Amino acid sequence: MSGRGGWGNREWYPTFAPSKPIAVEGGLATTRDRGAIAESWWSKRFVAVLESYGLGGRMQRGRKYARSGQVISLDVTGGTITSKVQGSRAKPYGVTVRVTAPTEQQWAQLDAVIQRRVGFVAQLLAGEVPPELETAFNDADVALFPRSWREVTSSCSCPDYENPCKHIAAVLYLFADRLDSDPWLLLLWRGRTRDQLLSHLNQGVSGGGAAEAAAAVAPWWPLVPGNLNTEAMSTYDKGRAIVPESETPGEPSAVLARIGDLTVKGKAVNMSDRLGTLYNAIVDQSPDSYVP
Amino acid sequence: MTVRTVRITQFILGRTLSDFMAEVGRYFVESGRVVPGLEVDTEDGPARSWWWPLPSAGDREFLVEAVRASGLEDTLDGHRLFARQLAESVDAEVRHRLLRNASGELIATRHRGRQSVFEAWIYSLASSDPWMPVSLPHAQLDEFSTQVRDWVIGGAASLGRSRLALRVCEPDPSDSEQRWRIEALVQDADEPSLIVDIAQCWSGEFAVDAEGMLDLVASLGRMAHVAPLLAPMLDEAEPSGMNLSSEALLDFIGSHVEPLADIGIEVFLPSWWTRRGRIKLRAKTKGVSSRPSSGSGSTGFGLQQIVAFNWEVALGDVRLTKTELQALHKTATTKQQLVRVRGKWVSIDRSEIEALLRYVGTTSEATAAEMLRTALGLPGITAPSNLEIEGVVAGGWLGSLLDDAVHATVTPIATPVDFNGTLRAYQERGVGWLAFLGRLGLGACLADDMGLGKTAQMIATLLADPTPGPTLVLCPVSVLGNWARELERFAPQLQVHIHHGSARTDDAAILAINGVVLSTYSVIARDIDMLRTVEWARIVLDEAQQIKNPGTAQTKAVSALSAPRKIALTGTPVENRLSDLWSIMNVLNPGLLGNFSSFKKSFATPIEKQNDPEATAMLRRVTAPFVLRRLKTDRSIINDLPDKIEMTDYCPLTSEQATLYQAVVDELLDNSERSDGIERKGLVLAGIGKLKQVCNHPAHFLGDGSTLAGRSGKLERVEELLDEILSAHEKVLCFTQYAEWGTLLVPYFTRRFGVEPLWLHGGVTRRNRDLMVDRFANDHMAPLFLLSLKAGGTGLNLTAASHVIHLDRWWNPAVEDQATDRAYRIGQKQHVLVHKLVSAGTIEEHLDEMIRSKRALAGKVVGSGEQWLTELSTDELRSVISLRMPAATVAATSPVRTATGASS
Repeated sequence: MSGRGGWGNREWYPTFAPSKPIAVEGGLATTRDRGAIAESWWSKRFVAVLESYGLGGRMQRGRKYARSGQVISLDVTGGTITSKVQGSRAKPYGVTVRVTAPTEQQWAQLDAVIQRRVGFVAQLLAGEVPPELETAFNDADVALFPRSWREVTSSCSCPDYENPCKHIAAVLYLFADRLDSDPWLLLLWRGRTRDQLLSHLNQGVSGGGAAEAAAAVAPWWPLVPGNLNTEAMSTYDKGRAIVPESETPGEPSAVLARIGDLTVKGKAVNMSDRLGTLYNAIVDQSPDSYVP
Repeated sequence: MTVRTVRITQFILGRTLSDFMAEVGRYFVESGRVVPGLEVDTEDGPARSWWWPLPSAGDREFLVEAVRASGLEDTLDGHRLFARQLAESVDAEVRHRLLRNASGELIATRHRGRQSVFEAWIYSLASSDPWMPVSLPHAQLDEFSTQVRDWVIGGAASLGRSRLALRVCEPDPSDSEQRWRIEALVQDADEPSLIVDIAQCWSGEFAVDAEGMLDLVASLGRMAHVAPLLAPMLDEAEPSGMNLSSEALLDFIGSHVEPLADIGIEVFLPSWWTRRGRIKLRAKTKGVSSRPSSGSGSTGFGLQQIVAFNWEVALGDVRLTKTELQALHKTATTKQQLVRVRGKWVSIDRSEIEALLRYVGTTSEATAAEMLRTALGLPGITAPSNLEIEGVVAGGWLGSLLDDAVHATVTPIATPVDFNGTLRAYQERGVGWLAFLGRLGLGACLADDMGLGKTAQMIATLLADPTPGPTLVLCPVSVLGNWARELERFAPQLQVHIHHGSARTDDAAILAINGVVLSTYSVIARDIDMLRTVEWARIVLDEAQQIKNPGTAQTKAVSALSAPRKIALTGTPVENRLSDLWSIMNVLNPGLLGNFSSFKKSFATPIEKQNDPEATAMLRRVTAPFVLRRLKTDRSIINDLPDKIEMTDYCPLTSEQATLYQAVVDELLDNSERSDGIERKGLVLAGIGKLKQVCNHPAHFLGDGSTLAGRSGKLERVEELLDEILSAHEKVLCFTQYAEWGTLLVPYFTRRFGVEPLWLHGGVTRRNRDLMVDRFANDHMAPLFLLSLKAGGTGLNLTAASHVIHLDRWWNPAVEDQATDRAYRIGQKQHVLVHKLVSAGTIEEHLDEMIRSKRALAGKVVGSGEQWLTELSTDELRSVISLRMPAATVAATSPVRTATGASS
């Protein structure tokens, strides 16, 4: 259905005929129903490119579609946005919008740049597209935003011969709206997932395995073997460890609250209820607390 | 191996590793950081329960230290060995404690027959034997042990749940550019005191999981969003911080610290930041004389006095010279910046320095009250050009006020030679203090506990600090007679005029020629226009709680009077009732506490609603120089006090009482004339009894069940005493010889004070009597014990009481003393204050005088109670019972006022 193959279903239809789209229950409407679609600078940039094509009327109808929730689905994969849009016919139209993804070589260059500066992922994680990212893409000779409509290849299974049609426009407006809150989509469209972009962060950090490494010693053990900075041990010749002052807990069994309930045969058991008496006796320091 | 052993020995300072482990184990057990565990031997062996330690994130640092120092290798095996030993130590300690406290039996009893794995585990945790029955199905044990293991891992502190934080570090002194370092830190979310450099996170030394890492990086992004100033930090792959110029730092701290805190990124400022220097103005008084002018010139009295001062410039306590300021002016820019001045970081800008330069060395003036308030950090002197004022430097009397050194600088005044009595040491200090503040024209509040002799101290002060003009003493009607008598007793040479009653003078000149004018709060509101024309040298406000309400006519009238010396006397702890304190202070030292609404804002609300200790301390500092309060319980006072203090309170008769009294006297004398023998004796005794009833209350005498309020001067005084005693949470015994009087008082006191008095009279059963005695001793809700002299005079031990009130007199000191001794016992810790109430001008006063002046004779005469009175001739009797009525003995509370001359 998607792609050029969709043209096979094409039927000639008078363009002037009033077409009223079928309302979609639970469609993917834009965040706001008036004013500009995009809020952030990157979405605005994206919309600006879209609107530079000068297709006033269809663009406006597309925006209306996007606002009223005519778009049923929107998936982004490397290089392609795949979507279904409910038009006036019973069967939703299939829409795809493609851009050229950077080559492996270009990505290698981009990856290196991104990893050298934590700000890229930091800002993306904080929900923003760092402006430096566009520069980095330019340096790699790839455009972060399509520079013109010509860089975008789109198709729709609707009978309209014009491209972009209002359905394509609706998909792009919705995409712009999504970009506002999820800037990772911009890179996903260019072929990099969030996980791929973040993978370097975990390298060199024993993070992921820390819990397992510690638990291999004992379930309660909090240290990762081999991580104690033993180079410092030489200066530790006269090593002394001073046992801290004990702090009597406010509630003797407070420690159990930290772990939560224990599951026994599929049922959660509140261990404070079962062991509270024991903890009272354990924490109580007065030697003569027991009155026979 | 040998080397390792040596190291261990070194580290544990001569102890063995197991000793050390025992100590570490105890630490975890005492801190309650232990959890139940389960271990199943892989080769179908038995299972054992464990008590494992569960270190918190904050324990990690210590454990790292301990593992390193133990000499064990930083490998899986090394850690395992350490963990095993620690677990054994914890397990042993827990089981030892459980055994010792014998709680094991509380939780589980071994079931007979089949037992679930879970219950077997719980049982074995509580028992001294960790091994679980071998009969348990191994597969279930295996499964359950995995569950327990996962459960414990879930609570282990092996991963930092962390958040980003920032720290501002001072520039290295050698750094000529003075760059401030902003360090990025990681703060443990569970244990905020655990903070490491973010570099430890990048290197993996501080382990966070992948999720935590992403959170941290996202926080960096949010940080740059909120504080764009810090965005350059993100240019590195693994940033650790960045440098800021001092200007940028001020901008950062001024605009970004709070927004960062709002998104959960805490910024740690250097500890001196909140105390960071600002160069401020300081007021330095110009040669304040050791005593302020006490004339009534335009400069005002005491704290209202105008004081001239110079502006100087100071950083903290340190004065800066004009040259230093000019040097700063050269470096200052238009933007705020941080510079080092005399070793302190100071934020300055050019316009501020210019303003300081403009005012330094110039002269200004303010009232002493404003200076005092400024010194304490309250709104006082207005600074020019919105500059801030650092403080006040003053010499002389103002200096000692500012330093809160008044009490220390006061020298006691020895009992004045013309004072007819001897002052105790603390009273001499009190007189010295009153005279000192008086000479400075400062209002003083003497708030000694009841019984410490405030009146005597005041009268001694009149003698020790003589004034050219008259002293006006204002008091409630109920103690007017007391004042007259105490003045007569201690200072008979003073010319005292009583301004009270309907025949009082309206001529100010008549008042002005006296040494002391005694008047009452009820009169002052009416006569204020005349009274304010007198040039008072001193105003004494006795029972100053009378002016606690700023809105009343009497408070307004008192405020309208001015005098260079103002003294308030009160026994109620005014400092606990803030609005009362304000009102009294506002009369004594106007302006000191500001107006009422600002007082409420800066003191009353924070102290009463928020329990703010700083506001409390501040209020204490402001008022401390002007309030002297000694308690009976003060160590320095106790040694100075007799165990039992007796006070006689002279109460006026109301005109109703006076009329009734006169009628009974007339009847009695008439009867005594016309009868003889046993009949005469009986009539005389009955008449005397009636007189005493009239003294107590008209309703007591009439027995008509009429209302009590406002008809007896004696009852009014009793209420005042009880108010004071009960508000100090002390306990009191009230003795009367008349059961019917007690019966009338019980419902009245209950309504009036909100506590039902215990009432012990002849009709009370022994059992109830014991219950009452017990309640009085132990129940703080039963502070008031009313006793009939007959029922309660002997055999009871009522040492909870610190006050005894004799409502009426039994002309036998021995009987009274015996009653008093219910409260007073040798070895009792508290002193007992005995109030004997005497109706002034009546038979009660005559007999009281007689007993006092002729103690030996009196002992003989009155030894047998009142019988001897019946032996007197009619003329003798007349002289004893006739009503002598100076103005002060007639209370104004009565609606019908008898015309009594104002005599002096």
